[in-house]
Amino acid sequence: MLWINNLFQSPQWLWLFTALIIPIAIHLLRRSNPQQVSFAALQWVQRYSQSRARRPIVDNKWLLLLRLLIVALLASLLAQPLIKREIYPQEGVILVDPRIGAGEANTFIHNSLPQLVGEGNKVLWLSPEMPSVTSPPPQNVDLWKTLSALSRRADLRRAHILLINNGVPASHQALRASPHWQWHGLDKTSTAPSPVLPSIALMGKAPSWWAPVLEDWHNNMPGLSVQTLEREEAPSVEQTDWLIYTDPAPLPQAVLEFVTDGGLLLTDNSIPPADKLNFVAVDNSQSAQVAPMGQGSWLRYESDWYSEAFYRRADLPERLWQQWSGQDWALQHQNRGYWSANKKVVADIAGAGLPVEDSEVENRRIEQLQPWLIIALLLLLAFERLIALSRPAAIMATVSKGEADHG
Amino acid sequence: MEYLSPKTLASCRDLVWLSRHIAEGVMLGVQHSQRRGTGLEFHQYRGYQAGDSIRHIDWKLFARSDRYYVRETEQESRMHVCFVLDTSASLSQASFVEPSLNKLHYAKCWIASLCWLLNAQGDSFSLLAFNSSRTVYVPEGQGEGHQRQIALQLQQLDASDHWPDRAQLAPLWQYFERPCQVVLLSDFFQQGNEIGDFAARLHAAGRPCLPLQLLIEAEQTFPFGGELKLLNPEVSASTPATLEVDAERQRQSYLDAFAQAQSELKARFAAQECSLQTDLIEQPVEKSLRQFIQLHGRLC
Repeated sequence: MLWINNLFQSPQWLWLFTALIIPIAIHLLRRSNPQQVSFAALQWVQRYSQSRARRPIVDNKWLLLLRLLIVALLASLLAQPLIKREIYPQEGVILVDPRIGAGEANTFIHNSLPQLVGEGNKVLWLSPEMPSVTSPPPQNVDLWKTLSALSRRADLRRAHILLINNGVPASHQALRASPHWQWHGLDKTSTAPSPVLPSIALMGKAPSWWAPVLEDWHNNMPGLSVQTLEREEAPSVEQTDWLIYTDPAPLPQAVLEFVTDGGLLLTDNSIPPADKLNFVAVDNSQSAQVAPMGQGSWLRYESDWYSEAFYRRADLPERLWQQWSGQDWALQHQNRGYWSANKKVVADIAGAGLPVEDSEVENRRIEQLQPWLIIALLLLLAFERLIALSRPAAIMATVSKGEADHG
Repeated sequence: MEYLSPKTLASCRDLVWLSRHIAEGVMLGVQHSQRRGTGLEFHQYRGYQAGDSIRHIDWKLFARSDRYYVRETEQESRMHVCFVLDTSASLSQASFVEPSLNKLHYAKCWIASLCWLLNAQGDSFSLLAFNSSRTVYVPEGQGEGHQRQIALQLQQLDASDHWPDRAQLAPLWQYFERPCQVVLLSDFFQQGNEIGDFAARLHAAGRPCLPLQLLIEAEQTFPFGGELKLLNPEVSASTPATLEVDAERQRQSYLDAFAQAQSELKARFAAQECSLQTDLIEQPVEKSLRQFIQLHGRLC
């Protein structure tokens, strides 16, 4: 019965179709009981051999048909039929990050995307409601969530996404996006309040790459705080978000408690994973894996982070930030208004993101037919009345001459 | 003048008042003088005999001849009109324009109104209404009281059964022993020619029969449509009680047959030097009465 649910919104009203027998019954009964008229001059009325079988089964076939249609329409109006309509991806739709001003966005489109200037192209704010850029920009939009939601929209499969490039590297691993989207970045330092930064603590000896990475981060994110903890010190969730642990195994009890309370622990392969933990690779590189522990997570590199293979790469600071911040869900939630895509993100989304394939997108939209059905019903009713009233009555009482003289 | 509408005619229960109203409408502007006492027309002179009133002596003649002569005048004989009303079931046929009015009611009003006119003229009139089961006879008489009696009898009449057969008619002939003018009201829907024969027999006996046929408009136009079940109020051997017809298909054949029957009926009465007047009951009684009086000048 699933197909009925697809066709009708309220299929429980379909039983009303049984009311179709009412007009049929009325017509059949009318046929069997012709109108009776007393007529004294009957002797001059000829008696044709008129068998009932030769008469039509029902009189006024058209009227009956109209009445059946009216009942059927009424029943289907209550059952609320749905039709599916194909949706084609629209070309020339530009979704603009609301943090970019309307004028700025238009200038960018004029300069960088001249093919999208003109009639038929739509420039909309990137928000769930997608208002036009001529309206005031919506505030506090969760761009990540909005993009993930819009990635399932068939009409936006080929949209252009214009985002701000505020320099804060952000995670994009779980972002769902259409593979056909074309990304554009507008280099602009956000005027909005700066994003919430995690407080980082280092326990043990700092690896050789740590200082340059920290320096790079400090350049992009001034105000990032890093503290060093002694082995005896117990890290607290209130003061520390990320704990980099470089001491030898085993993990102190205090560190384990820190993670289960909601912290993020970062280690390399020198710390053996606990048996009961279920580590999952977070990157295609297979070097990082993560496991949930209580309210927090443990991000563990399978390789040795003292080895050159780990740190000798140009994008190390950006990469580490993305991998680490991607696992700090609380931080992501707080920073959802500041999410932006830099060139790295845009380049990676196509390969490493979670693309929403065409096959996953519902490219048909369900539409209701109520307004059309109501119009059709009214038209049919008017038509039925017209036919029924214009039908000659069994006795056509005409004004006699005598009566006309009375006036 | 304004005629009574069929609706008023049908809804008025006081036949006396109604007929008087109609009759006054018909008599409007007609000069009439009621004859009182002895006649005015001179007939002859005769010699005075003992017992003659001296007021009748022609004194001028006495002066010339020196003898008593008495003027004798003659009085016009009064007319006796006998209304014969067919009360067979077919007279209960109601109009389709005004369903509360039927042929019998129209006939009652018509007779009562003509009685007023005759009464005003000083003529006498009688009523004979019959069908195969019931006969109502009001003997000859004149005056307002008689007119009221006839109206009362008329009011109690119902339409049922058939035109009486030959045996049932036999006792009715006694009512026509005295010379009279017969006014015959019927729809003239007959199986053979029984009503026509009745009129012919009266005519042969020197009782001129003036026929008035009452029809409804639908009988002349057959204005029906669709599937119909026609009920015959007067069932007989040759006509069925009911007939289911497709009205559109039947219309033309009916109209042809009816027109044929009507022309035959008219021709038969024309042969008796009595033209048949046909009236639709949807038409005002006054018009019908005027036409009837005009057609039969000797009546009034």
